[in-house]
Amino acid sequence: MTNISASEIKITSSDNLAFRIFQWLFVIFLIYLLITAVGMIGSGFKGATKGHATDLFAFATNPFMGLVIGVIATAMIQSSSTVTSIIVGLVAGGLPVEMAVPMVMGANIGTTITNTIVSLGHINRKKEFRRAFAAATVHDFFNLMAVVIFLPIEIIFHPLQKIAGFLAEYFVGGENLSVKGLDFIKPITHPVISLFKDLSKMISEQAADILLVVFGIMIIFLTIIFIGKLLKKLMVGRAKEIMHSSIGRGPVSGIFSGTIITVLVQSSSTTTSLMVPLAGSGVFKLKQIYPFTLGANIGTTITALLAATAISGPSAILALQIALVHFIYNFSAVILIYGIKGLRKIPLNSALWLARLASERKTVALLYMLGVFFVIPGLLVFLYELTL
Amino acid sequence: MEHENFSSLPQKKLKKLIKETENMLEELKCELDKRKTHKQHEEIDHLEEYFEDADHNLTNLKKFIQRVINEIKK
Repeated sequence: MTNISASEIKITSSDNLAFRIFQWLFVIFLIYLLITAVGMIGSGFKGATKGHATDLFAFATNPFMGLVIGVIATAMIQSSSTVTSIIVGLVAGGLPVEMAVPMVMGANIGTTITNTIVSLGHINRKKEFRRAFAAATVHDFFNLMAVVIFLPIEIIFHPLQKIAGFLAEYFVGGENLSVKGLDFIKPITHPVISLFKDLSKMISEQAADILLVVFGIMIIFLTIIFIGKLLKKLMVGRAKEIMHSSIGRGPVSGIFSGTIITVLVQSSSTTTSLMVPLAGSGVFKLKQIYPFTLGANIGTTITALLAATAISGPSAILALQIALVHFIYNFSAVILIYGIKGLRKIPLNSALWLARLASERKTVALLYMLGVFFVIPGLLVFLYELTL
Repeated sequence: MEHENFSSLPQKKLKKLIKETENMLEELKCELDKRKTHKQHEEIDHLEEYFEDADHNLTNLKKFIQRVINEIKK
């Protein structure tokens, strides 16, 4: 009897292993599709705009408009990875990096809506809701503060664009570390891109390039959803191990753990949403949750970097540049805001204050969400237009 | 009352009492930290459920809006 059970267990575990291997192969296939889709957007956008991408995005020359596009697009589809990957594709297709930078910053704000919505699940228990809402909005306040500090500096001096440009040139165009010689992406993505180009032409010869962009966006959207779902299943054990080992080790370990977990699950929303119930139960203090959410900001930049590998040729530098802008921006924001004690406390205190208000009157929470993600961005554009 | 008792105590005894209390306080703090850490580890063991919960965004939003409407009606 015992022998039968043991053999059954063996069969089950080997089945599990085979299934896991299949899941991993599927993840690799999805990443391949993601990279291909970014290439499709780049190629389609270049063809559709015929070198006039700046004219097409003339409305986004106002950086606040770019910011609003990033905020609203990300808040609507609840995935900054999707939005930043699309932005990388658009930059490769001719969208100026200068216009794309505020969009990337906006995506950072937009993505915070997901964990705020997750915190609403605790609405029936007042204290729990207060803690959960504070854990969610500390991420919002941090990202808002980062934009308030970095966007004006970027508009005037373009430091992120310049540093990222220098690094991108070093990695892609430099003599020693040239990726040109190692361009294995184009040969493997080209057949699928060509297939979709032909399909688009079959549907409409005139709108083929626009259709290619639409196909690319749809594929990115779907692949990121499936990658997220699969990685959640595959990585939950590893995420647990990382979190167990980071307990009691201080904020730097928290930031590092948040980064690694986000890289593993390819979604900052997932990492920050996980923190909400941990804080809501009262077992984890807001101070402990805060560094994890900042790590999520850094970890999420891996997707855009991955997406940038899809682009080869002269646009490769620009694609990598915008992906690096995303990384440098998030990394610098953590160093600056979390590194300076006075600044570090602002998102914490703001989140606690708002959570106290929202737990008393739920309308405050609704007004806050509508305000931050939709009304204030709109007002900023309006004010900017007035000053011109 | 206690104060009076302390005032009658010799200095040596007082110092001994302080030391014992400090040690006890340290042990209590350690025990409290241990329990907190244990609870945190237990909470992390529920991570699968939290992963699931993260997918129920729309349900949360619907419940919340209903709650806000009720609050406004009141």
